[in-house]
Amino acid sequence: MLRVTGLTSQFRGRAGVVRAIDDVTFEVPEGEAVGIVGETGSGKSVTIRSVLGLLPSYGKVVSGSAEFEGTDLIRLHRSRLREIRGARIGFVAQNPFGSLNPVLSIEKQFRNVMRAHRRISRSDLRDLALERLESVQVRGPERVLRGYAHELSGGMAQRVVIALAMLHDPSLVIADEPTTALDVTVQRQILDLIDAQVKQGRRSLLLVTHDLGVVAQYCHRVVVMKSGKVVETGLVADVFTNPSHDYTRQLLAAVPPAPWAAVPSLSGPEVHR
Amino acid sequence: MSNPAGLRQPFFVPFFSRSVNYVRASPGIVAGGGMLLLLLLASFLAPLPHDPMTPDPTAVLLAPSSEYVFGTDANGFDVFSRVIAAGRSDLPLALMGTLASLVLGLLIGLPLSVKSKWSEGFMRALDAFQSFPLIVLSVTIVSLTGNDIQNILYAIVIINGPRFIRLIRGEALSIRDGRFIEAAIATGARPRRVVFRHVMPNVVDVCLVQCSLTTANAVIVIAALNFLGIGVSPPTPTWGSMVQVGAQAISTGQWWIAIWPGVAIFIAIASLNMLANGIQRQVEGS
Amino acid sequence: MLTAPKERRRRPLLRYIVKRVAIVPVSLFVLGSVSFFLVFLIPGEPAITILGDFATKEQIAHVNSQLGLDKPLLERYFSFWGNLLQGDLGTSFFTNEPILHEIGKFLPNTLELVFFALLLAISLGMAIGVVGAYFARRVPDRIMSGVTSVLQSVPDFFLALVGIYVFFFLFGWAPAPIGRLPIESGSADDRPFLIISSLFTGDWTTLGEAVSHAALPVLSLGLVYASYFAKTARGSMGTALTTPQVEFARACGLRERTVVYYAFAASRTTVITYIAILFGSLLGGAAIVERVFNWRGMGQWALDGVLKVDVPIIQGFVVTAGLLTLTLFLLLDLVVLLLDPRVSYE
Repeated sequence: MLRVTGLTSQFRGRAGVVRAIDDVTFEVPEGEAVGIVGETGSGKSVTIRSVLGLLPSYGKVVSGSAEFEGTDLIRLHRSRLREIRGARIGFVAQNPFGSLNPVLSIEKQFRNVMRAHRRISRSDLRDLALERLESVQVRGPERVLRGYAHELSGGMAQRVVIALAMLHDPSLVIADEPTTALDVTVQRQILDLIDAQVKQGRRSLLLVTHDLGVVAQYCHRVVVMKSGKVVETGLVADVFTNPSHDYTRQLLAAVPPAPWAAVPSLSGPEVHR
Repeated sequence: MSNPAGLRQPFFVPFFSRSVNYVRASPGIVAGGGMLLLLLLASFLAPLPHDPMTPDPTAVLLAPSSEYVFGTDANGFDVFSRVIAAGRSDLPLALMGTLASLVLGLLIGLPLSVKSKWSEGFMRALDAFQSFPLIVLSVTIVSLTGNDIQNILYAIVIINGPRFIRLIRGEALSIRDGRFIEAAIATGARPRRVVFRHVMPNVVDVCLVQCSLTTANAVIVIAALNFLGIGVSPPTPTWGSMVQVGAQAISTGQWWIAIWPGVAIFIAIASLNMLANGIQRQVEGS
Repeated sequence: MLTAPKERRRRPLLRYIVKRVAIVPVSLFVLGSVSFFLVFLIPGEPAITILGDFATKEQIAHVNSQLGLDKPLLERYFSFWGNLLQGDLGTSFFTNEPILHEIGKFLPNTLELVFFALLLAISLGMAIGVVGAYFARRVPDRIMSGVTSVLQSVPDFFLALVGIYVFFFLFGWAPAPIGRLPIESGSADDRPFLIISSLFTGDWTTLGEAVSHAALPVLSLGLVYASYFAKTARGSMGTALTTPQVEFARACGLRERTVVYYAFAASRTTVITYIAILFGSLLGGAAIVERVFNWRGMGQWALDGVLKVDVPIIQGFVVTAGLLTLTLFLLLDLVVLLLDPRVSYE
């Protein structure tokens, strides 16, 4: 599905060139969920932005490849890459209020995303948008569609973002810390929702997070990153029960005893010293 | 905690090493500052080939030549000597106007940074004032108060004073909201001390930028007023009045009378803007 | 989950508008008072300043009575307001023309000039700023910021002179700077809004003449002010283009055109507000450029009045220019309100 090999990206700054990620290699197999974990600044976000071609103008992928369904996204022409983004790869960002356009109605935003890839009549689009909003459990979808982002609560806005990301039935969903900006009470709802959407559509998921508990519960595989490098990758069960790298051990040790099931079951004696 | 380190540092780091850092990091500062320095040095030190104040009636409207490098105007004045000599009055006047605006900004802006209904009201009034065609208002005031060159200072202050007030108040407010001020007050420092010992140094950087922008604007204001014949006492040369003299000849092709002083204005403003950009970049970078 | 249903939003909006409009009379009061008290800035005896040292007693008495200096201050102040509210701005000392009539004659010319200059400034400035922001820190950005800095460093009246030299004297493309129409066409004073009216009546010869005469003044004002818009647009678009909102738009595969539009929509309120702020100084800049081109607009009229210390003209100009800016501010505020669903109506 998605195979990232030797990906290396640099930023041009006032102080010179900074290497943000170095030789990042991992794979997202068909129908599986992969979590990227690491602390802030470890290069998680830069990795997915490199894959999607969303680096700012002073950033650049210098080597490596990211093969998605047989095409290398890094070497793909900008306009061809655009056709893949949003259509075959859906993206859910951190802050829903940052993601949605504040001055356009939600319906207009659905229309724009739809038109970027497909021609469809206005009424068909409305029906589709309503259906999608319902499927992500948005209450009063008609009213939401008519309204603007600032009228929504955080959880509702993120649901709208998810509906937008799933509009074209992407085969891969990339979620960049999708719950960090939300209230604790809705975080799990949103994760469950993404999980359900991914499973229903038989999609693959690349989930960026700093929460090991989330990875343990929702992902098959995990990629552990530290200062721009992948330090460990493998099946969640393997990595969590038998971490081979010191940093992974530190990360696991730093996880507070979680109120929900997944983490305690994984914490072997060498994890909770 | 009585001396929050992050705050006092900018004040105590010697200005010299700071300026060295400035220059190294930004080509804009070197180029802009260098050009400005050159212009100032030329104005005060360059030898004048002819007396800028006495015309030569036998040499009228001469095109640039080796004798008259920039040509002569309709009265027989040597344009080159006058362009140089005009810098002697225009540049210091612009700097003085900037200084006056800065002082006004500090005197009004800092007290206004105490949040109250009164200061909010004052800012609203300032908004209204600034939306007015200030150049016309300053022309009005300068010509009503008398045609003295010093009165041009009023014009510069009228236009630029409000910008300084707004800037200094804004800076002081944002710095005040910072934790370190709270800390300083918590340790028993008096509010007035907080303003002058802690807020001031941080405002300095931003003010430097505004100062060079204001000087640039002052050069334009002086030139514009002089161009309109305000604040001019012939035969003393100013760039604006020289452009005005040249304007009458430009339709008939004697370009040099207006263009050379105009180029001098352009160089002065461009170097000041470059300087401002350079410092701005430096402030953002650090 | 909607926190603010439409029904509840409508009334605060109305209240906001009413409040916003209610400020206008207050501003007008300040404006009128400022223009009244301007006279007190004249040092010594105003009549002598105005008429010169060789004025006769009768002339001085005449000016004094016109200024109302023979009456007590309060009475003058009230009669000034009484006249102003009836639209009576007095008569010029030198031409004896009613000020209101003069303004009616000259204001349209200025409005025409400022309108086209503003149009040029906004479209060119936005274009420069958007290109710069889009290619942030790359070659086009450097070029655009270079263009901006150069334009910002040229005084508008100097640019006008360079334009006259190059396009009138050297190439002969532009007409002589003698007003809004060629001399053969007679006085243009009684023909307001030449470009627009001739466009509607289909008078193509006049349109051509008017446009060619307007080209240089509009260019020299528009280019200089475009640099200010470019700077603002570069800043706000630069910020808008790095927001997560734009990133999400790209991640959804929106076309770059749409992405730039998204960023533009987010930053347009800044630019619109800036129009109002710049308008005042544009009016001032127009005054000087009008003089260079003998445009016979309100700015030139006011400057001539100022230089002759023709007090009623000064007062008339202060009031009119203030009124114009106030109206524009009000209009643009309402435009912003309509464009941005988020504006809080406090």
